[in-house]
Amino acid sequence: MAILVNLDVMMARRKMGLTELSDKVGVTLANLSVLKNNKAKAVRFSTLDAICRVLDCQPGDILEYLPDEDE
Amino acid sequence: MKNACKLSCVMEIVAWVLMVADLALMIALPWITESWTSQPSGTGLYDQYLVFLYVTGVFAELILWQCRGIMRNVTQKTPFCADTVKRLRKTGWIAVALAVVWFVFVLCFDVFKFLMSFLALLFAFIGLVLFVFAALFAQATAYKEENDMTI
Repeated sequence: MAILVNLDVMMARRKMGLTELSDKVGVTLANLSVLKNNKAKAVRFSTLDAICRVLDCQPGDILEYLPDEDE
Repeated sequence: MKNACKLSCVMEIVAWVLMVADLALMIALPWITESWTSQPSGTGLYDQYLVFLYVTGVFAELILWQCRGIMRNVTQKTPFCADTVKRLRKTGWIAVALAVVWFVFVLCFDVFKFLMSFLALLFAFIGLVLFVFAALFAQATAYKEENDMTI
């Protein structure tokens, strides 16, 4: 997968922990951990909306496209 | 959902009971066959019955073992997993193998010809249906995994 989730970077910038973000976004700690560790296969718009609202950022700040090496 | 889990729990116990009963019957088979066929051991008909019933008993044990595993997965609320797919596929292969063995018996032996032909066709069909179910569960497992990993 060439999509990288930079959630930890944004969390560090906002000085927010995973537990606090989980409480504010309304997503379980386990699911947020899956997202943070790039294990997620898809992200709902509603989740992205909540994360962007809480972290006061754009989707592009969280998601990054990396071209595959062989492309 | 709760009722389905209760039913699967009951079915798992039934599978265990049937497995024990099958094992007991297989142990007592030489005497049961002797009294049923009214022929002593070593005669043609007795041996044919014995071989047929032993082979059927072993296959029944294998099928019941797989059924028990599937029921356990349903009881544990994880029916859509790789283990269920594997067990369904195995059960399908066992059913097809049993059908083949029965066809061989029909050709070689002189007992239960009509019944065995019918059962062989039935089990071949059941085996193929189980392969379709295994493919269906594999697809459902893939969907579930994707859904679980959607945040």
